[in-house]
Amino acid sequence: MIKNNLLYILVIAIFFTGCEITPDEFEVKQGSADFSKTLFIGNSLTAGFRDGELYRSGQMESFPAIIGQQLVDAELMTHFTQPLMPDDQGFGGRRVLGYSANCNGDVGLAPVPTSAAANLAASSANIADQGPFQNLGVPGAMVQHLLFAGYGTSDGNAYFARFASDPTITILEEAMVQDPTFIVTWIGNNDVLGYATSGGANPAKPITDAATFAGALDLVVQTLSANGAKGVLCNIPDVAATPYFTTVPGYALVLNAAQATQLNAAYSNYNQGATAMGLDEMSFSAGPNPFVITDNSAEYAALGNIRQLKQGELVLLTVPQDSLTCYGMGSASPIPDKYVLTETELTAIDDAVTSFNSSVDQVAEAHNWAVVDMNGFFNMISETGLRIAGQDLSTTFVTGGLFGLDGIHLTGQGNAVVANKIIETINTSYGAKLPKAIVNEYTGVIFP
Amino acid sequence: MKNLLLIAVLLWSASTYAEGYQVNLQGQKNTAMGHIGTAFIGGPSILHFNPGGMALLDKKMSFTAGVSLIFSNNIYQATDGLYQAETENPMGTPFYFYGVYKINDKMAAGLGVNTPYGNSLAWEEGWAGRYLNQDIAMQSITLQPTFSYKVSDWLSLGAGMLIGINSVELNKQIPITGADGEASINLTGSTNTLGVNAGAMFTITDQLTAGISYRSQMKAKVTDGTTKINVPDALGTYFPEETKFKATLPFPANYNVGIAYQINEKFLVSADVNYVQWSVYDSLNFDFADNTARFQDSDNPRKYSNTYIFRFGAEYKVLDELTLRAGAYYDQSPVNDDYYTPETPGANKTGIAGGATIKPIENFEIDLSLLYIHGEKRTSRYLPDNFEGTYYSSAVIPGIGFTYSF
Repeated sequence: MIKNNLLYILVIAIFFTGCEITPDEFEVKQGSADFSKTLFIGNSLTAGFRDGELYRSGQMESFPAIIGQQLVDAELMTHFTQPLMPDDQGFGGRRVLGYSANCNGDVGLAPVPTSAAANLAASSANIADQGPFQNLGVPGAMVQHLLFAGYGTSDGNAYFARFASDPTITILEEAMVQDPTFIVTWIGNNDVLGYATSGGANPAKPITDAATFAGALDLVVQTLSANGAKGVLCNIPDVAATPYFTTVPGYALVLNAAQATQLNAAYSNYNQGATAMGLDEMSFSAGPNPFVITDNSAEYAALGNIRQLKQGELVLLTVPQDSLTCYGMGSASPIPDKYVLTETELTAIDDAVTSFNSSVDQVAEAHNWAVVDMNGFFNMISETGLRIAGQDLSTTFVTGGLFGLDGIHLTGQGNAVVANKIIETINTSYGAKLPKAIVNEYTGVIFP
Repeated sequence: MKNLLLIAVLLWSASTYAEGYQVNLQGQKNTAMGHIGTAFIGGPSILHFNPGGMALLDKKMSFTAGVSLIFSNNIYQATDGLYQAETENPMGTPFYFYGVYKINDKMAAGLGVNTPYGNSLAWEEGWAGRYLNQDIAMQSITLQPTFSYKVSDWLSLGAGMLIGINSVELNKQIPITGADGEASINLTGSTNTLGVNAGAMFTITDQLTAGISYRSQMKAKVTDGTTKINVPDALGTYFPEETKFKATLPFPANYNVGIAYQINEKFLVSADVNYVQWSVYDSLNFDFADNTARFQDSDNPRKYSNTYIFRFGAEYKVLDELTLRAGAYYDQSPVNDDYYTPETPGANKTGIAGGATIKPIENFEIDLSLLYIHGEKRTSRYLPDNFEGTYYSSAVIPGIGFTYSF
């Protein structure tokens, strides 16, 4: 009987232990870096801004939050704190995907404002006592703003004012008082983006001067690394790789034969003038045609500053679609300058990105930091896309999954892809082995 | 009989315990000996293992029935992170029934009902590989009417027809999120298959027997499967809510050779080699009746390779009332490292088995087996979906059977 019982117990024991599997543990390594106090410095991308607003659930999926979670899970850091907004409306700019009718009454999917109202008082309330914060990303910040005393006042930046521990403190000082051991910095996008998103038409938003950019960036990294802290510096992606600039096709003026004839006749005087000046004539035919745009350069002054869009020039996501569809914008009247990036403007943007990125390389090298090549990474994605765990991700607006509804900022999945790219660079540059995130644990665009 | 089958269908759900989606639990005596059986006559289960040996059974009538309980576990571990996911597999219950009637000294007829193919796997909800597979339940019940003829003292032949009743259900998520959660696709289908099981048994000496057997390939062709797709309302025009599908899943041919040696009255050893022609499983293609720009037919490479299984087992008759058994096997995985899907998480597997037969009264036996399967850890990926990970698997399978013969 005892024997039988023993056998019984043995069988049960084998049974339950047999099913247990103990997988090998992922072996975390710090390499030559110390992640115990990791900070993130940057702009809206770092802050977790998304869909036109900084809002709570978007911040929870910021790439700093994703990397921070990995570092906490890997037991390299004890906690990670962000200056979270009080709700999912923030200051009220958030867009969601919904239905909207155009001028013809056609209903389609489009980014629309959220129905919930923003609580401005709650969003503006200073939450510095909940800090210190490891995510110091401030929407709108350019490189010089990191050094700008007063940026945390109501005259400075509302997003910084809500978590600045003192109105006169700079973002850089907020970092330094925490004595960081490792810093992920992604700054400089706004030094060219403000120009680009305004179609190069807003004199208040010029491209930052290259020397100013290089000097400010060097001062920032020099200060951060003075005590031996390591870090990575992310470079600036080409703006043309984001849906804000690539979604509206420039050759989308679809005409029938009669309309084409009409337009050719209407612009016949223009064409005579253009020929006399050695410039391209406007020409329309049945089918898709390039839009008529504004070009404020001196070259076209005598022609009323209009011409047809050239191959490679971009129409911005903000262009009023109804005006294009129903009210003759882009044909009878030109698309205004602020909705278009012309060849000249694109060249200026390209040159700035190239110059800023070479400053990023030089500054990183001077202070022994590593560079995350976001520019190369996003160019690769816009050319070939990504396929991760059976999911296709691309830079296409809405359906691509990486970019949110403002066409510039990333979704949770976009942030996870960026987080993994940064982790990859840290691992190779510092001989570390930090765990990567699972991209499909984060959200993309939500369809109604 | 019809009712019995229905109950069987309800009970039956297999799990991963053998490589691919073949189930190797077709007789408790055999299972306890590492699932040998091509040259070992362990009662009516010979009908499945080698129909050639059926005419060598010495009782006029023999019946056996049994069931195994599969407790299996699979773990997925991300290659470059801390992420892990587990399966929550339902307990699998493959069963068998064999009855053999000895017509005369030379001839025997029999009927088998068993579950040689199946796969049942459920990954935890929301897991990282949900766009490849969330869960699968594939079931196959095979009827095998069989006839065997003893040609001479040294040769006995036999053959049976395999009639398979098969069904499959597959769920996965689609990477589109709506207000109510993620989009998903559900595929269900059923089909019947026909095949052959044939074998020859060679009685070389009183102590030594050898056997060969062959189970043919069968192609489970689903011609009117049902696809149900759940997507956010806004994308309803891009996906049919419901559409038919066609797909074919091949069941591979098995070539078996075995040898059994009766060392003395109490002690027998046996060994088998199975060659499984898995290369027939090259791809799993779904041909949907309604396609849209966003919903196309789906071709999924599998690229399985042929494999060998090596088996060894022994039995020892302690008393007339008690026989002990033990065995082991090594089962190669047919799954290609670059085309490894979590729907059939294969690994080279080692099985260690033990068991006993208790004979409380004349003509009646209780057959017990306990099998432990250890899958080698493997790091593989499914290249078309860029999904890589390290997979672990194990299973514990107790089984019980009853044999009555007179």
